[in-house]
Amino acid sequence: MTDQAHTGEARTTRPQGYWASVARDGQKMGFWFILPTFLLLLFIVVFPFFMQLYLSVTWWTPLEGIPWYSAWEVFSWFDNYLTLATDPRLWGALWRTALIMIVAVPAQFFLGMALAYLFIDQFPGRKLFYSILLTPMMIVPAVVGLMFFLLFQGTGPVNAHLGLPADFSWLTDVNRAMISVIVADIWQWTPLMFLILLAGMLGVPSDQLLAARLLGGSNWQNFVKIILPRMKTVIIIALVLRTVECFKIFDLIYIMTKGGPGVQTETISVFLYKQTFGDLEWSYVAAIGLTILIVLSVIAAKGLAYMARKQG
Amino acid sequence: MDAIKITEAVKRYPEFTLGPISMSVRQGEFFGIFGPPSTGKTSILKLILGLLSPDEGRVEIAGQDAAGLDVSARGISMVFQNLALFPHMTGRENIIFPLKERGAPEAEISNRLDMVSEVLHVSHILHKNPAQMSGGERQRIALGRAFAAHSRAMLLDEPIAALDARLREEMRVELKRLQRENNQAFVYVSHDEEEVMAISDRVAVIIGGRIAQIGTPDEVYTEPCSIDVAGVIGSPPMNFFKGRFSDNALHFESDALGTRIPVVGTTQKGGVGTLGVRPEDIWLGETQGNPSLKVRIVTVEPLGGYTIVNARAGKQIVKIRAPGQVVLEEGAWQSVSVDARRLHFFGPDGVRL
Repeated sequence: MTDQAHTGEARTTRPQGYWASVARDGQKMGFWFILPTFLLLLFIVVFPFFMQLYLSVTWWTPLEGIPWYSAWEVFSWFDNYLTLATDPRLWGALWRTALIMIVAVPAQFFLGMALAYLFIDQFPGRKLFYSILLTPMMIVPAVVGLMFFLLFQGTGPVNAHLGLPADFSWLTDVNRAMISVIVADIWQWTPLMFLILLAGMLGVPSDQLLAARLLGGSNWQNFVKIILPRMKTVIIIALVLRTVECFKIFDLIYIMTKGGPGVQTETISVFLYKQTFGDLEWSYVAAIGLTILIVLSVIAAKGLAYMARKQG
Repeated sequence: MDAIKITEAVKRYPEFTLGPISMSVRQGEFFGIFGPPSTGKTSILKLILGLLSPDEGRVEIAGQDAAGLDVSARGISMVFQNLALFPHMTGRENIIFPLKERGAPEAEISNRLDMVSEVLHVSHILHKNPAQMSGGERQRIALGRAFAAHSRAMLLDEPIAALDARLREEMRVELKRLQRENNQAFVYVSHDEEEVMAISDRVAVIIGGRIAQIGTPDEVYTEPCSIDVAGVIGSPPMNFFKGRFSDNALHFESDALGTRIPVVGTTQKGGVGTLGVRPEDIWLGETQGNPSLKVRIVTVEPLGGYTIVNARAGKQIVKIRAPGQVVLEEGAWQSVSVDARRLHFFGPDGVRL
């Protein structure tokens, strides 16, 4: 009797219908859980991508007088892409971005490595110096830009220290503007290199270092043969991180020189910013953005494949 | 000649003082350092290596004062507990590392490599990285690297502690063979008493930062110089009975024993003391000419070749190591006798009488 009542009750409380099947079937339920995020992603990734692709094959600008979705009225085939292939300002900006990467990233790497080496052993005040050294990377890049903008003024501290006249300009000089920007970038981002490399260096077991020392290696030999190989992964991460960041450099330059004098410090980000908000060439910017995306994707894929091959 | 000699060396830490340590390791000797964990064993190795400099006393390497000698100039190699192999190098590269660092000619390097890999039987794993090797293989490569260095002396800091029991026994034999073949001075540190006793020519027992006793394994075992040494050497540990000597120095009396033990070889008249008896020196049953007592069996641990019997004598537990397998009823009374020739008497200060 009680048994029957029990099963009867169980039968009536079993869920029925579609939503019940959703609740029973884990996979279906999972779909509903990810749906909101999926839609969100659709809007913030997929939709802008196609919008960009669409605009990049038109002449549309916000001044055109027609909404963006009607841009087909000014369809231009691949004119934007042909323009960018021969645009000296774009290629100049790319070259300057590369120059900053080539100079600043290795400089940050070697300085960071040297500093990290100094910090392996304990010494009085190590923690204090460590904190001080890390300060630059904690400062907002725009503020760093402002600092160096002030430092490099004709009447600023840099000239005063170097004993240079007030008309010796940095930020408005054709060659020295780039030097100022690179110096600021090195100042700000060496600490990050230092931090990552020091972590990698401390990760080398002290027993191994001691063993190498006992077996007769000099400090330099041990550094090259024991520490560096063991830091390989960390070094790659640090370099990739800084190179990618360097490619996007904007705040420092925008505050210090606005890309000037002329276009002497105009990097790819500054150039795109000016094209977008200064010249309002939105379709052209869309074409450039897409091209860079494709080129970088190919490079990244090749790089990853190369590393995978090397590891395997 | 002494390969390593430490004279009255003291090293002070804020909460611990090592020493004074005096010991010497002869050329071609296998010298064991044994002690419970964190009693200063590794600090002694560091003194020898030069990673620590003594506050007092001196360290000599091959008859030369080592005070000014850099770590790398002492000609001592070491096998670390975790081996400290270079993981990014193959077995071969690991072994020839010290030769390369010294800038040895190619011919010497390949000769030495051949010799070392033959002795250690590692030819077939030279191409592997340490990560691809088994524990025993890694062990051999680490030894090979230390051997290749051609050093005066070799320090081994619990080098086989990480291996499993069977492999440990194999490596023990191997180590001894290598040491004999090379006629090098070996300093072997371990907290495993059995390991040190099995392998060493002489043993230093370190307790609380001091050398409690130095001697052959046999001496240390049969004539421990203090209660502390007697307590750490031997497994299961020695049984201790607190009591007092009779005024005529003929007997030792203890509440736990319930019987008077005749004292031989000391002239302690009256006063408290301790009697130590090793578990294997207590026999089940009464024997002619040996003092006997009644104990109550608590538990019996059959271990195959021998049996550990835990019994209660008075208020304390006595461990008895009986040969072979014995059948005893738990809770039953049993009379046992102690080997009168192998009693250890210690004075009130714990020193052997």
